[in-house]
Amino acid sequence: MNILTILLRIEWLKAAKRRIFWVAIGAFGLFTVIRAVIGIYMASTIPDVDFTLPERWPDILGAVSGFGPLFTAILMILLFAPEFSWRTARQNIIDGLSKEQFFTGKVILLAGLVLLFMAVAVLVGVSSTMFSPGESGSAIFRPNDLSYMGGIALGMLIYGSFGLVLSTYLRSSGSALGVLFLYIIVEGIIPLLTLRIGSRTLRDAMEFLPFKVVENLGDNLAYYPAELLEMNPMRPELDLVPLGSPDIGIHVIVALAYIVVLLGLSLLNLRKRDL
Amino acid sequence: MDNLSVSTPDTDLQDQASTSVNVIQTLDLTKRYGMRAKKSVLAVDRISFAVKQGQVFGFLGPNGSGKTTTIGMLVGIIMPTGGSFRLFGNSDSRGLNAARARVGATLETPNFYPYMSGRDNLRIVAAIKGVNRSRIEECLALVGLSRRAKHRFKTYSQGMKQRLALAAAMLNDPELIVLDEPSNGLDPQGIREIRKIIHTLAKRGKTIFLSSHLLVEVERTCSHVAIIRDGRIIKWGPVAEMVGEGNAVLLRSEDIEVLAGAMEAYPDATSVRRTDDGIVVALDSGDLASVTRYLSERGIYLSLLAPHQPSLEEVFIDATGETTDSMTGLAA
Ligand SMILES: Nc1ncnc2c1ncn2[C@@H]1O[C@H](COP(=O)(O)OP(=O)(O)OP(=O)(O)O)[C@@H](O)[C@H]1O
Ligand SMILES: [Mg+2]
Repeated sequence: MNILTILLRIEWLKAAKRRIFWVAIGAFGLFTVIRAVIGIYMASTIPDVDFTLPERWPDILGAVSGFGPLFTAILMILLFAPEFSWRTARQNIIDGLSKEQFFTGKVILLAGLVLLFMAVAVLVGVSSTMFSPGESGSAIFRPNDLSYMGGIALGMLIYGSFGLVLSTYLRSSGSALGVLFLYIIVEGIIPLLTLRIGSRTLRDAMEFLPFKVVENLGDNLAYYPAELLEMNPMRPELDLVPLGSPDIGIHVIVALAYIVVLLGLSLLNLRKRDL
Repeated sequence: MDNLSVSTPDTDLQDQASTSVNVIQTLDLTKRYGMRAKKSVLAVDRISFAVKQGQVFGFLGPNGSGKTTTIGMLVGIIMPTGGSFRLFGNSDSRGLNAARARVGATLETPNFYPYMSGRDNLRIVAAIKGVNRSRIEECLALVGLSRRAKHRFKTYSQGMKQRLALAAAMLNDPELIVLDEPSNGLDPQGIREIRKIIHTLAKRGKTIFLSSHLLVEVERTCSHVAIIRDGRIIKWGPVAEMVGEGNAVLLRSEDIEVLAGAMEAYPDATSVRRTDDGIVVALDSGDLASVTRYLSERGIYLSLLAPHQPSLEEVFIDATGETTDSMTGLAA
């Protein structure tokens, strides 16, 4: 067997027996279902609104972009960090994995979680439209639905890499979760502080803080310009500034850079510390 | 201390390298924990020894002497801060990774996924080691865990955990088995079983490296021993040679105190120790006639004079000048 397949199998054996793994997948599915139920309910009560695919992907995926990344980070920490207190990380190496292979296993786990969450979202989306009124379009996905899914997946990978790096450095799920939430709060506060300083470049830079990048990548307006065109003409009448949308291209590059840096830091730490 | 194997590591290592295969070989291997000079601990201090194929090598030392740290470096989870070592002749990281596929090891406590059954835990080890599933059942049976294999690891008793660790170490039928305090937490029956397993493995030509703070365990199981204290090896060699070393005699007379006092003044005596049977005197030479003459001149007549074979415990006390209260252990 190929080494990547073996690593995947090992991570699967570890995760599949954890109750928290199934609870997290279930909760993720439930949240997505709730969003779909709201959509179906609105479609059945408001005339002119249908709950059909592919038209309603922005709503379903929009919900996933909200809680998906945080879910990924938390689950990553819960699955990975205890390996240090159980000393199974140590035993895996003693049993014959190299540190690099052990780390690769965790990256595979992260990618697997993201794929799994996406699969759940698609499954919920597709099955829920069967219960809703209205004709579905001919194709299930349009190109921008797929790009949106890619953007959300990138966001999940950033959060997940964050969870991975915190797990390797702190080696305890409690402190890793603590620092994760602390950082989320801090990242929320920093831009407010820079507002007072008022440097424009600084404020622009705030758009590229890690979790802000995730938020921007999850902004559905960026993927569906038609909606932007539809909404903006009405806004001046309501005394609102026109909506803009983030430039996805540059955000994808920044996101990839974050992922590479986070995973790199994690590997370095794992390599140089005793287990 | 004398003619015996107070090792001069360099020449020893060279000798052994040329004569037969060294499974483990360390050269000035060193580990200092912590970077700041004040707080750092020199856990292992330039130790050199070699383990040859087929040996049952005991790594004997009191708590905190550096046994686990040394093994940790050999199995790749602790980075040495100095010196080097070879496993099956390999010292580069690539070669070491490959060599570790031929090793089965336990370190300190048994480390397993608490929420998984014993069998599922071994399944993970089997996946890492690339061995067949049928081997899992064999190893479970070997350590007597078959019946409880479906229960979760966290429900196991200390002894069962230790057995599972042994099963995991043997899973890939390794050439070298490294066991860190294998009898920790086992009852006398369990200790006997482990000893039996080790003997069986040794008979099949496996090399076994086991650490212990129990003298009796090492004396009964091992062919070779290295005594380590404060991170330094103070003595190493074949157990038989070590316990056969020197000219010690057991003496008894009516008044033990007078006898002991006289022997302490005897020029040829290197040490005098009181035991339940009498006194044990280590002599520089084997000249017993002089001893009896010396004593009779002082009006002391012996009721017993017998050659004395020192135990490993005595060797240890001789070498370290320490008591062994923490190390005698009530083994089976
Ligand atoms: N991670 C660590 N950080 C700092 N010091 C450590 C660490 N691990 C071990 N030490 C120190 O290194 C020394 C040797 O410890 P080690 O665990 O190797 O001893 P040992 O011979 O295995 O003892 P025992 O019989 O108690 O298992 C001790 O002084 C210990 O405190
Ligand atoms: Mg130890």
